[in-house]
Amino acid sequence: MVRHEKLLEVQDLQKNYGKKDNLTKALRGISFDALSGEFLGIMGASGSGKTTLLNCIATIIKPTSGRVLLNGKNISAFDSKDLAEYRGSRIGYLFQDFGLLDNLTGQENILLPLSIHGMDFAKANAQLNELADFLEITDILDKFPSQMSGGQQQRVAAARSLISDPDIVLADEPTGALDTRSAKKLMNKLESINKSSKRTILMVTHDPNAASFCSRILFIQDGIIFHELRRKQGEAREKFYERILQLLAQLGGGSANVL
Amino acid sequence: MFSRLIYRNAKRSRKENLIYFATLVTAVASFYIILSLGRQDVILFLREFESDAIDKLLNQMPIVYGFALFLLFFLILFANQYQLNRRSKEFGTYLILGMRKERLILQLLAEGLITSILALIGGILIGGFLAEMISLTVSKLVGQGIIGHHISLSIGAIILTIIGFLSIQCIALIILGGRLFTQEVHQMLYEEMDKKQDMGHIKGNLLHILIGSIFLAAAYWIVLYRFIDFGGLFMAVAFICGSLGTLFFIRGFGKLLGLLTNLSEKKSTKGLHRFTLRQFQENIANRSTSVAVTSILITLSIILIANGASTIIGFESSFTRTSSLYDFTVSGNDEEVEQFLTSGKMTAYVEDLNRLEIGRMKTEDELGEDVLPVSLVEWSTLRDQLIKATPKSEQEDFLSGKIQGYTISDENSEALNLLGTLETGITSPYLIAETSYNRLLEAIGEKPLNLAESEMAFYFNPDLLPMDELDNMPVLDTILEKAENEGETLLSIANQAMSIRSSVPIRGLVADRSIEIFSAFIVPDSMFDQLVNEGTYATYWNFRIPKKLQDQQGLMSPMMEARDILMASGLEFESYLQNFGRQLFYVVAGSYTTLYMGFLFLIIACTILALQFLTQMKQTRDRYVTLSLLGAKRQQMKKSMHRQVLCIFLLPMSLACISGVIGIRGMISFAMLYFENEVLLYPIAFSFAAVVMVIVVIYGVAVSRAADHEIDKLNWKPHID
Ligand SMILES: Nc1ncnc2c1ncn2[C@@H]1O[C@H](COP(=O)(O)OP(=O)(O)O)[C@@H](O)[C@H]1O
Ligand SMILES: [Mg+2]
Repeated sequence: MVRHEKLLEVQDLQKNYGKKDNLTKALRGISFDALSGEFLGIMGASGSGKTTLLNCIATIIKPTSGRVLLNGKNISAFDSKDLAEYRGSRIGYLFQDFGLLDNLTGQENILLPLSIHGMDFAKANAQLNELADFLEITDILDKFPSQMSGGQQQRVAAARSLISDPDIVLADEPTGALDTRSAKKLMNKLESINKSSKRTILMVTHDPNAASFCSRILFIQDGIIFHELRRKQGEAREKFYERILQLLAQLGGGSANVL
Repeated sequence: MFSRLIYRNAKRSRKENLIYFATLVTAVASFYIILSLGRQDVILFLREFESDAIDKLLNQMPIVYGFALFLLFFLILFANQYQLNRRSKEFGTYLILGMRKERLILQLLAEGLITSILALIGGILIGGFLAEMISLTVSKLVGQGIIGHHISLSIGAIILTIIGFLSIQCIALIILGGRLFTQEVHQMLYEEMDKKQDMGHIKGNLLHILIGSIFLAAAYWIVLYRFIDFGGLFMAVAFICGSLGTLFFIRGFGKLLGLLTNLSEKKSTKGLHRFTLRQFQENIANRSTSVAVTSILITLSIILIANGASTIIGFESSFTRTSSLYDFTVSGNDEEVEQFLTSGKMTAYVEDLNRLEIGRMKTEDELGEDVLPVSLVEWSTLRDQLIKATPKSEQEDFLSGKIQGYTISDENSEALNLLGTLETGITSPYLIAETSYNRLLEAIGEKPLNLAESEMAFYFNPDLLPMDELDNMPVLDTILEKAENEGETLLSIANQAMSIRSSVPIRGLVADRSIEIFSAFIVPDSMFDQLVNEGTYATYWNFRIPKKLQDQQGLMSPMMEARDILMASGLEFESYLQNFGRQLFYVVAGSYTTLYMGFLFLIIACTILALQFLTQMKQTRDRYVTLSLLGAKRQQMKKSMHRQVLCIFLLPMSLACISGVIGIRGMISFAMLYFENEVLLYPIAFSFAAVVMVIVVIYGVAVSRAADHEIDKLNWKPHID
C-alpha cells in the first residue's frame, strides 16, 4: 500500500448531541491533518470534546457534518459493511479502560481482530511473538486480564491494536487508568513503536506527561482547535514537557482552568 | 405520578422481558391445569364406573399441586432474581436520586402485583385453553363419542390458582426485596459478572470428571442391574449417585473445556469461535451447579415422560380387544333374564346371545368330610410331559422345590405357566358345557367343537394367562398332538381315559370379570351334567351389541343405551364398559401425573437455562461493544450467540439423554415399564420426543431472539454494526 503523505484528513468536523432544546455542540468545526508516521496528541480539558473527536474519527459515532478521510477515503460516509472492514484491521484502538475481554486470555485478546477478520494466523504468530517480546508481555499471554496488572492489561491492549498492522492507532487517554510508572512504560513503548515502524498514532490525553511523548500536540477547547505545539527536531522529552506546562499555564492562567 | 411510574415500569418490564413474563404465565397455566383435573371429561366419565378410585386419585392431587407449587416457587424466585438483576442499575439510580429504599421496595411489590395480575389472566386463559384441548383430545382418543364434552372451566381451580400463584410470587418478591434492602447502592450500579476466571488445575478438573464418571457409572450400573434391590432403596442410591455424578462431571467439564480451548490452537481461530467457546465455558464453569441441576431435571423429565407414554401405549394395546368378545353379561334367574333379553326393548341390542353354563367338578365323595377332598382327575402323565417341556433352568428350580407356589407371569415359559395354572385348580376344576362354548365359537365364526363322548378341551383365561396367540399354544398343542398320534392317555376323569382336543380358540367367557378363573375343562354336555357340583353351578347370559348397530353408531353409544335399559331393569349385569373404564383409569391415573411432572421439569430446566444465558448476556454486554469496535459484524456476533445458546442447551441435554435412556432401559428390564405394543411404540415415542424437542427448540429460539435483540440494541452509538 502506498502511504499517503496525509494519512488522516479531518475536515470541518461538527458534532451535536441531543435535540433542539438541549443541544450540545461538542465539536464546532475541527480541521487538521495527521501525516503518515506522526505521533499526534490532542489535549484539552474535560468536556472539551476530545473523546467525541476521537470517536468520530474512530467511526464509533457519526459526525453531524464534516468529513474524515483515511488514505483519501471518506470513512465518515462508509456504510456499516465497509466500516466493519476498517475497524480492527485498518484502525487500531486503545481505550482508557483497556477494553479487553475478560474471559479471553491475553493471547486470545490480541489475536481477536485477526479472527474476526478471518486473517491468516500462520504469519501472525511470528508477529505476535515479536510484539509480545517488545511489550514485555510474553509471560502473561496465557493469563486472563483479571490476573494481570493494569499496565500489563494496557500493553496487551496495545498489542491487540497493533496486531493487524493498522494504518493508524487511535488512543483515548490510554494512561488514564494507570499509575505513573506503568504510564511511562507504556508511553515509552508507544513512542518507540512510532519511531521504529513509522506507525501513525493519534492520542487523546489531558496528561501533559503522556503528551510529551508526542511529536505534535493539538489543543482543543469547547470543540475547536485553538493551538498547536510541535516537538523540535532532537528536542529532549523533558524539554518538550516543560514547554507544554508553560503553554498550559499561559493559556489558562493556571492549569486548573484548562485541564 | 408515582403510580404512573409503577404502571409504566410494569409495562416496560413485561415488554423487555418476555421470558420473565412467559415464565410467570407458564407457572399459572401449570397450576390451573393440575387443579382443573377433576373437570376433565375423561375423569367425569370415569366417575360413573370407578368413582372410588377416581376420588382417591383426586385426593392425591393436592400433593401433586403442593409439589408443583414448591418447584414453581423456585422458578419464580429465579425469574424474579433475574428480573431484578437486569434492573439493578435502574434501582441504583433511583436510590442515588434520593428515593427511599422502603419506597423502592414498595414500588417493586406494586409492579410485581400488576405483572402478577396480568400473568394470572394470561396464564388462566392459556391454562384453560390447554386443559380444554387436553380434555377434548383425550376424550376423542378414547371415548369414540361416548364421553360427552363439558367445558372444563372450574371456578375452584381458578381461585386456588390465584391464591397459590400470588403467594409464591409474594414470598419470592419479599425475599428478593429483603436482599435488595441490604445491598449497597454501588453494588447495584456496578453489578457485573465475577471477573475471576477460575480455570482450576488440570488435575483437579480431571479429578472432578473422574469422580463424576465413577458416580455416574455406579448409578448406571445400579439402574441396569440392581434397580429394585433392598426394596427400592437402591433407587434412591441410584438417584443420589446420578445427581452427584452429573454435578461433578459438569463442573469438571466446564473447566476442562477452558483448558481444551487453550490446547486447540489451530481450529479455533476462525471468526468468533474462540470467543464463543470462552463464553460457553464461562457460563458452564461459573454456574456448573445450576447447569447440573437442569441436566438432572431433564433426565427426570425424560424418564417421567417415557413412563407416561408407556402407560398410554399399554392402554391402546388393551383397547384393541383381542380376547374380549362379549359386551354384556347378565346373571340371575334364568327365565327372568331370558325373558328380559328377548323382550322388545332389548332385542335391538342383543346379538349372539349365549347362555353359559359353568360349575366346578365334583370330588370323590367316598371319603370323610374332614379330610382334604380328592380329585377325580388323574393327570400325572400330562404333568410329567409339561415338566419335561420346561426350559432347563426352570426345570431344576421346579424339581428341587425352589419354585413353591406358582406365579403366572410372562417371564415364565408357557409350560411352567400351564403347569401352575392346571395344578392350582386340579382338585375340582371348572367345567364348561360344550354347547355353551360352541355358541361362543360360533360368535367368532369358528367351527363348533363336536366333542366325542370321552373327549375334552382345555380352556385358559386369556386375561390371566399370558398367551402369544389366542388360537394355539405351541407347547401344549405339541404334547397333545403327540399323545393323540401315539394313543397315549394324558389325563383321565373318574377313571375314564380322556382324549384332549388341541388348538381350541380361546376368548373371554364374560364381558368383564364375573368369572375369574384360570382354567377350565370343556366337556360334552352329558358329562357336564354328570360331573358338575350342583352347589357351584351357575349360568351367565352373554351377548354382543349387533354388528349392524355398531357399524351405524359405533360401539360405545349403543352400549351406553343398553346399559341404561339394563340399569332400569334391576338385573345384575356387567359390561365391557367397566373393563374399558378400569383400563382407562389405570392409564389416566398412571399417565396424567407423570406426564404433568415430566413436562413441568422440562419447562423449569429450560427456563433456568434460558434465564441464565440471558443474565450472562446482559452482564457481558460490553464485550459485544468491544467486539464490534474490533470490526465484528452484527451477523458474526449473532452467530456466536446462537452457537452459545446451542451449546448451553445441548450440554445438559446430551448428558440427560444418556442418563434418561439408561433409566428407561433399567425400568424396562425391571418391568416397571412396558412397551407391549410395538406398532404403537414408535409413533407414540416419536410424538413425545417431538413434543419435548419442540419445547426445547421454542426456548432456544426465544433465547436466541432475545439475545439478538440485545445485539441490535448495541447501536446506541449509531455507527456500530
Ligand atoms: N452521548 C452524549 N450525549 C450528549 N452529550 C454528550 C455525549 N457525549 C459527550 N457529550 C457532551 O459533549 C461534550 C464533549 O464531551 P467529550 O467529548 O466526552 O469530552 P472530553 O472527552 O474531552 O472530556 C461534553 O459537554 C459532553 O457533556
Ligand atoms: Mg473523554
